[in-house]
Amino acid sequence: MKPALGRNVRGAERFVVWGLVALGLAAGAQGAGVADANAFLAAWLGAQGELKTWSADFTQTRTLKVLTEPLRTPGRLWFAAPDQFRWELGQPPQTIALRRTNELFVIYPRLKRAERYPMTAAGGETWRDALALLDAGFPSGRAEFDARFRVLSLVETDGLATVSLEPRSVSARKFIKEIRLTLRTSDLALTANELRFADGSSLRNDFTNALANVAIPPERFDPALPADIQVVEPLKR
Amino acid sequence: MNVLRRWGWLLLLGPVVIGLARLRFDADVLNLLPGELPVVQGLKLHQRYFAQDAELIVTIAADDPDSAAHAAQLAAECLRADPDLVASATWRPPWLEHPEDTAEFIAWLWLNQPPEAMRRLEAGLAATPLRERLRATREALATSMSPAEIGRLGYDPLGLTDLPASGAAASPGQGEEQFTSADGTFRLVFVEPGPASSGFATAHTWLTRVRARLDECVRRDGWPAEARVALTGKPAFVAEAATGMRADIRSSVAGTLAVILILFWLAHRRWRPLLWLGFFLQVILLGTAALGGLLVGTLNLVSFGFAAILLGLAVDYGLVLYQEARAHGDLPAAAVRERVGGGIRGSAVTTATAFALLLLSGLPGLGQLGLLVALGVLLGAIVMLYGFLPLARGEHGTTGRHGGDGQRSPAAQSPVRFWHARLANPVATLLLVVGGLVLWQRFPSVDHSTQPLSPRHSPADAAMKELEHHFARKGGSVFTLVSGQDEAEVRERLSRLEDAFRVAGSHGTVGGHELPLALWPVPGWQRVNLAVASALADRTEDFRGALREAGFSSEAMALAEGVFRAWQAFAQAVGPVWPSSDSARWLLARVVARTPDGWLALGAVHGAGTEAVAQAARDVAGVTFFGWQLLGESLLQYMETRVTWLFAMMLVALVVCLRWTFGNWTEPGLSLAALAFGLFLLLLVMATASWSWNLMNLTALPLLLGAGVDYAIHVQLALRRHAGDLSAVLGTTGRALLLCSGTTVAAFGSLAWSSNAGLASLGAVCAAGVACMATTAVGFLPAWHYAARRHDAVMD
Repeated sequence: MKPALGRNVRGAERFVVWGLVALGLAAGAQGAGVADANAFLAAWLGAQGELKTWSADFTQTRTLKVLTEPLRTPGRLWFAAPDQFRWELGQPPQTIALRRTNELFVIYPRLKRAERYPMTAAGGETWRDALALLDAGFPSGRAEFDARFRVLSLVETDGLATVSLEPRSVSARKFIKEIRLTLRTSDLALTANELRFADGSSLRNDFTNALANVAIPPERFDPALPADIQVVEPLKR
Repeated sequence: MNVLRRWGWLLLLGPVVIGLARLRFDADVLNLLPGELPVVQGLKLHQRYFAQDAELIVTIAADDPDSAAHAAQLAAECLRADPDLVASATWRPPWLEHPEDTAEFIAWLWLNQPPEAMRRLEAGLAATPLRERLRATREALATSMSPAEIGRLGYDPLGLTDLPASGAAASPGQGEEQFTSADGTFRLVFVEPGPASSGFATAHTWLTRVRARLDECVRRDGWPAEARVALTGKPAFVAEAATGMRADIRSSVAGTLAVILILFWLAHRRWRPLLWLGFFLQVILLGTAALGGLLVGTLNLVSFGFAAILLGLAVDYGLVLYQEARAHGDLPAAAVRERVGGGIRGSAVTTATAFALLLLSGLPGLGQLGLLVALGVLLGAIVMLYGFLPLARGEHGTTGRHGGDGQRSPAAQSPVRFWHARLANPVATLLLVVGGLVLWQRFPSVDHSTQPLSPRHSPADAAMKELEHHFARKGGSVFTLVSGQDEAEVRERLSRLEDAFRVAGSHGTVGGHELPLALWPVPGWQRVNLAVASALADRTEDFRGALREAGFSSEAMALAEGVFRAWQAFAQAVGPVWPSSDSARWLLARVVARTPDGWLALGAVHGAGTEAVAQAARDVAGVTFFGWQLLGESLLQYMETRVTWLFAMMLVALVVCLRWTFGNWTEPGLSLAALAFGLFLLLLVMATASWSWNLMNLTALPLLLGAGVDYAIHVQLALRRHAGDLSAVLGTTGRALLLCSGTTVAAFGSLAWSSNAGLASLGAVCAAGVACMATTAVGFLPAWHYAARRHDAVMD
């Protein structure tokens, strides 16, 4: 049986949600060298305390089952500890994702539309999982990280280390099979991440021009929605 | 001839066996209620024709949404593993588990749209607009962050899910709210019973097996530790009712029988009559049950309570007969029957009439109980007169005279005489004053809820209340049933109702409403739309090519191909079409029903009372409003009218009977005063015990009138018979009355522990009422009688 709407909607959910997840993980993925998975993670987790801000350009590649060719879109990411980020997709931005503590705004400037997702609302499990994993990019310690992820493998090739992770959350695992982080072994800088979904689709971000601990103006994380933007809450019942 | 007289009773065995074989139990609470009430009609229609009413509901409560969802899935999978036990277990909207069903449903929703909407779809799929649409879709797929949008655009590039607003509201994907609470920590699994559940008798066994399977599931690795499971829904209630009824019958009948036999032993200390009494009481029960089987067939939740009441009433005849036989030990049974038979027959007819009047109470359950007790009382009188009396008396008569005719020791008589001469009236006055003050402060209130219809100590009821807590809507809901002879008529009525509710909503008289308008076909629209749909389906290859050219894979065409196939299949059907997939049927079974007379559509109105809703829909025919929360008030209004009418009718009948019995107005007046005082005492007991009146125990009033007047007549006739000799009256009639009322109180009192709340409250009020009536008749009435008749000299 070919996939139909319901399953496909879920596939699409995985696609976008875990894009954010990977972004969070990527933002936190800077650290020391790699010897084995544990040592690598220990070094990486140890470096998290020093990370205050992070920004980078990226190219996002969406390989969808419904398309014969992948879709590539440029974008830029800003992150500020402990839990703020702004992700702009497209140049000029077609979509902006902006997270502030316990709510997420997805803004479509061209459509003059914004969606607000409170993280505590029912039906927002997808977003909650995404945020939980986003937080995992900035874990307070090894125990917390291990509670959320299982390390599947660590492969080192040509000066790059690829760590494969699996979310421990049952609901998260239903739509994402694997998260891959690619880091330079020399400085643990994140160069790419990739989300692999159950239906065979994938999302990959290749990062360039990364800047760590460079001051980011606070207004970067303020939605500051113009009056003509319509705000909706899709999860509101 | 003698053989026939001696063994003729064996001929009765045939009807008894047939009657008992026909006997069935009905655990449906709705069958206790008056069928002519619209709210009851609505509930019955909903129960009969809508799927969810037959489903067991497994509730899952957990600390977080993830655990609740995981536990619900595990529970459903565990239950599905036994197809004999469970036909289906649904823990989330079925179309999420069977997405292949979605295409047919979307195809069907398009057919239900106005023809202009279908033509707009057709125009949008013409070659040029389609090319522009596919280009925009690719762009959105690259930049959208909405999970729903990416899914919809990717797998529906033709826009077949872009249903007009009304259709979109009904489309799949919005059904989670039926399964999960707002915070996601409380979930429901709907379980359709399998072949192993085949009715009332097996309900408990089936539920036990379901519970065992769930327990096994909970013990498995992977079950969220904090997730808790409970069961509710009709199958759970039926199972509880089945075990509750069995336990109630056992405990009330056994308890009453034991009390009766102990009282008899204390009074007479004879084994032979005691054993015969026990035997014949059971014969009476069996005979009445057989009569019930022959005349009624099915006993309901309340009427099975007849057994205990009947025991308490039927034993009175045995006690009177045995007392008389002992008092006149030299008389043969026929002579004893001659002496007291008339009184027993009269009493049986009076009591049977009082209980039979319950048929007019308007509550079928209570009416059935009244009928059974009435039949049983008549049967009891016959059995005691012609079966118990000869055997209990024995071949040689009773040995010794039993302290009848008022022979009491002077020491025992003094306090009694002192009470009636000096204390009874002052105490009555004091009680009236103090009791009046108490009742002024806390007169028993009237419970307007449906609680009396609920089972007591019920895990299923507790789970249902938790479910209602998690899924309740602010302001409550009134459910709406729209009926019609065919789809077109229902649709027309739904449209008019939609307009009416919209107007009412704009005026603020109705909070909100949900009608299955988007799910209801318009046969005319379907015919027109099918022609356009078939033409689109014929262009499948064109669409495939356009997608390929725009860079879409064959995956992107999957939904469209499903929709086109469904349209082609629908085109072969004759008349209005309905979807056939399991998911669609699951969804539609909740709001659409086919009946022998036509069709039913289920809707709901929120934030408004029945009157406001009925007012809004006054011009629309075929609409019924219902809801459990509406039932209590409707029933109580209905019952209050009925009981008032019954009460008044009985009073008139009593006055006539009393005048005829006594031949004057003084003693009937005293009898009525005794009745009033007995009811006053009952109110005092109720106020002290914080009991309230409800739709079940209100019917105790006519019953108590019957019992109370009986006692008043006996006491006053005894006072006449014994020329005002109080000692003689208390030694014979008074003693018998106390024994009889003791057994009656035990009988009604045993119902106070019934698993049915209404029956328990009826039992408690009747027991207290009978005790109050007996106390008044024996403790106060003689004093009033003397005062009225100026027999002070006799008392001195």
